[in-house]
Amino acid sequence: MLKDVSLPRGVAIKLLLLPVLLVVVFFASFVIGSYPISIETVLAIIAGKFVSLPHYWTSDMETVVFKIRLPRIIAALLVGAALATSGAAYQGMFKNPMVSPGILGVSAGASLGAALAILLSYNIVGIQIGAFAGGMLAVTITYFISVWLSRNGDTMLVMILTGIIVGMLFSSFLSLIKYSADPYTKLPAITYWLMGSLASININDVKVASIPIVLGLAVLMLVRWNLNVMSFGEDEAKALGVNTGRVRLLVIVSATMMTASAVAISGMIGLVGLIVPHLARLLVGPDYKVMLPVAMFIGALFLLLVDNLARTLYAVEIPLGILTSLIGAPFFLYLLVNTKKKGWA
Amino acid sequence: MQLEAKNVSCGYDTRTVISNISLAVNCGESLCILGPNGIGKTTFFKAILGFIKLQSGQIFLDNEDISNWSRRNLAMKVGYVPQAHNPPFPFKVIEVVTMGRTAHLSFFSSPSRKDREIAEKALQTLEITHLKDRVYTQISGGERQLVLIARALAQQPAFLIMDEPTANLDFGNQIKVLNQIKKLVKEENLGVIMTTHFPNHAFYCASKVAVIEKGNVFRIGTAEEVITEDYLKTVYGVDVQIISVGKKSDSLRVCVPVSANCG
Repeated sequence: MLKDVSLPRGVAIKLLLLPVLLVVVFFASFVIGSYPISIETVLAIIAGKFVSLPHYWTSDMETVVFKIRLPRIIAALLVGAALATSGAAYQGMFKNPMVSPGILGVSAGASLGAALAILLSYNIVGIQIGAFAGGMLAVTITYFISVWLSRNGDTMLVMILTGIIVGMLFSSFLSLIKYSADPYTKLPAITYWLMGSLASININDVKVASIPIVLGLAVLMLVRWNLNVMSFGEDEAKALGVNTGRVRLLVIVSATMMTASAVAISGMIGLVGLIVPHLARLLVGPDYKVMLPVAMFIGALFLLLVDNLARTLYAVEIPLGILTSLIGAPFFLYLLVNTKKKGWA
Repeated sequence: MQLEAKNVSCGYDTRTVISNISLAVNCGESLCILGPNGIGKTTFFKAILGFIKLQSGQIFLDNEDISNWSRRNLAMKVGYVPQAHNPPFPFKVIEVVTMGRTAHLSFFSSPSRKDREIAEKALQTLEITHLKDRVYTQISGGERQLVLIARALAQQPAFLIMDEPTANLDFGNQIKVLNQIKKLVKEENLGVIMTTHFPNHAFYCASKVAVIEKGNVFRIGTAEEVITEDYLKTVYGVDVQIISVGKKSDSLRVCVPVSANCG
């Protein structure tokens, strides 16, 4: 599968195959879970929403499909796509294959915001707002400090460094909150939230989070050619006619909005934003024109598959954030070992 | 078309690196800038390309001040060939060259088939079509330099700014790159401004030479006028003899070091 990377025909087939695979996994995911529903029934229930069909299923089944499984499946797709696409965009913009969506502090900020909301006993909506606001705040701080610091220098490098420092600062506040939280009620709540899960998702969460995520995806897809050029460095990109400041702002705003929304509904889900872009590059090469949409599809597919596992492996759900790393890391190492191409393919 | 720098001073923050330089290049001309390390050649290029703001003076393209031009407009007229380095991702050569088309695309679009054809033509012009599907990070330094020149050609500018195009190349590749530059100036009517550390390269391919010495002494003229034995002695502190080789009609000047002290 990885050998015909240089063949445009192979790329075209993969581009067609990914959405098809995604649709198959999408419908298959409705079948998975403790309440057994056959695939025919699932399809009939969904089709029943659009055309009139004889109701041979129970209303429980309809509730499971629409109220429980549908929101969760869509959330997995959205979060996976958001993390993978923003990770891929950042890797190009910062010309660094080690960058993940959290590099400017969005994850640390969102964690702090959520933990603070939990500490102050807000409800789930409050926690989500806290996470989103915390993520946006951390990146805003990073952005303005680094733009101010790098008037004459390499903005990208300064930005990464500032992001790491701001992230650390927010993480230390998070530790402080955990330390002062009630160890029998609040501390476990914070800890579980940080592990990442889609178990308690409902349709409203999905609706609210889908707006910034879809918007961000659209913007990144539109400016994706510029990311190719940006990966050669800021000066070269400028000389090739790219308004680097504008691209940078658009990419950062989009990626931050998407990641903060993803973290707000799912908690911390690591690794997807780091390794999926590499998977996409292994599959279709580094050209963002093709690679970014592919990363989006793989991210959505990967997180949906892992979430399906998270709900079925054990009687008790395994937090999604743990599983993504547990499955993703060895899989990625396996791919690296099996790829003879040099460089960060 | 003419690219002109008028009384340009530039540098970083409050420090001035280059002060009060004036020069002009026309299409179909090549200007070679010579000067020791750290004298500010790259800083001057950064100023022309708008990476840093001028401290004073102006830069004109056909008598139009370019200080308020958009990146894209500037990129359509002036191409930049940086020193080759490794990008973090294994792009194919054709993809790298196609990136030269960026200035001609609208902000939200990607290159079309036509842009790809222009990129392929640039590869042909530089006679490196065989590299088309190779991975840019896996070809040699000389090949990479040629690919970057092809990328700048795909940009279809009137002027090329080249930062030490022969640095880090072996002897054969140095001459190949210089020959390509000569060809571009002659056949494609490009204006080229390049820096080099080799006086012989300036003799070989420059229609004009500018030398920058310490204390911001600046001279411009033909290679014969500017690169003299005295100049090389004062700037580099070495004894050099400049001789002519070849027939009278198209003789070529070269400088050779003469070892005075160490036998």
